[in-house]
Amino acid sequence: MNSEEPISKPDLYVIARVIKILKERKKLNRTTLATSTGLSYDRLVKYLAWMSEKRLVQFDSDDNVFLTELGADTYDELVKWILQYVGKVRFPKLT
Amino acid sequence: MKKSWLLFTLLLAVAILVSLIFSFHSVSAFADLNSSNESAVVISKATYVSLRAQIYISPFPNSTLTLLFPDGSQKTVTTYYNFEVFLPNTAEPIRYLPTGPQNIYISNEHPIDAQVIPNITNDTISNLNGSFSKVSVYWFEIQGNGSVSISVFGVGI
Amino acid sequence: MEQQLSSKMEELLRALDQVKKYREIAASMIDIAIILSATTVAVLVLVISGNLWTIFNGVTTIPENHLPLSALVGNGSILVIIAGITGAILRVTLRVNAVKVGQWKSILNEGAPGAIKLLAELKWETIFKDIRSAKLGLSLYGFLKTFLIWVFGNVILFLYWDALVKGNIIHLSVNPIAIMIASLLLALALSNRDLRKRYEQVGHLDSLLWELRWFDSEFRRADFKT
Repeated sequence: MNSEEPISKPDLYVIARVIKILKERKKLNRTTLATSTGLSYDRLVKYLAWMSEKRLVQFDSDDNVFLTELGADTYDELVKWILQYVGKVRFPKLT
Repeated sequence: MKKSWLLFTLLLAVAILVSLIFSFHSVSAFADLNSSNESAVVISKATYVSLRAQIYISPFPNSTLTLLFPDGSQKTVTTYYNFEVFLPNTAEPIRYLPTGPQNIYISNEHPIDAQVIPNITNDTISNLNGSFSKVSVYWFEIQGNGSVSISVFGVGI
Repeated sequence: MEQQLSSKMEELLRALDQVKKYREIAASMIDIAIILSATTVAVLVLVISGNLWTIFNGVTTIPENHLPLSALVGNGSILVIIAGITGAILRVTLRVNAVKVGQWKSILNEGAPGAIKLLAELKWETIFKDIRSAKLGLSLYGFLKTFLIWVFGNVILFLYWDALVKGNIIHLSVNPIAIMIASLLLALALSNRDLRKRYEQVGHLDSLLWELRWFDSEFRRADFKT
């Protein structure tokens, strides 16, 4: 199986972690990114292929990964979207 | 599942023991005697009951109380005196409705009784000396000035 | 915004941890029933044995009106009851304290990704079932505490009244109805605050159940689009 073949059902958690690390560190090579996110190299490569196809990340000439504007906006939108629902839940004081 | 069985067994034991508790009965009686007439201390029970009675006799200051028993014996009490009487179960295993002497009410719900009957007459005495259906009676006469207190405990099993 | 999300998720997860503890109270009910039944059996055996001894062996009296057997049975029964109730409360406390909570903290520290992961892992049907069990557990626990105080009151009043009669201090036969009523009034007075607290807790759990059902249904239907 080609390790660069994109995944069919991405885990939102993994995508969010990758985007968060790239937001913080701006640009990373694949190996460092795999270490920072706690993913295996092969798995990270698959996710990067998927994310690249969706234009959430791009690669520079040195094959470093960086976040696109769409990637950064998507992350913020995701947080906002979840908060739209979680934020509405009122939690009673349980003692 | 094991816990359920354990709980069931314990609850069954509780039910059995509670029904046993209801087999116990207690009754008490108290009287101050202050006349020259005789009174009678009467303790009665259904024959299927085992009973213990505690009798406390306390003469008033500078007085005496005389106890006269049916067998002819007597005892003069000048100071605090107490004694116990045990009446055993003398019945067959099956229960039945007992009937006691006049004015003494014994039933399956109330199978023991204790009374101090004041101003007894010869009729009362002959009644107490009679024979009764499935009831045991212990009694004695008492004369003088003082107080009598009776505590009776019985079990019908 | 990410901080807000983490904060809200922490609230949710703390509430769910509390539900787990309440649910453990419900699960402890059978243990409590076993301990209390065993205590009841022990007390009844003690009382019946004492009564049988009194009837068949007589009552030993030392200086006037003192009945050591009654005192032995009475005090022994009270000790057994105290031990039983203490054992039951300890059992519940140990089980509730053994519930693992806060295991989500390290994941939530990751921020939004952690929140996403935790949300994805929540098993909603189990949560709703736990909340229903918790409500039942809290209600039962409240009633049980009141019932125990009532039983304890009955036993104390009965034993002391009985001892006073046997000791010839009072001359009124033990009246079980009067004892039960007096104990009930005492139990209601003593457990009033606790019963109100349980009522409020059950109400809060109801609110939480409604809120989470709404959240689950809305979140499932929602469609994230960039």
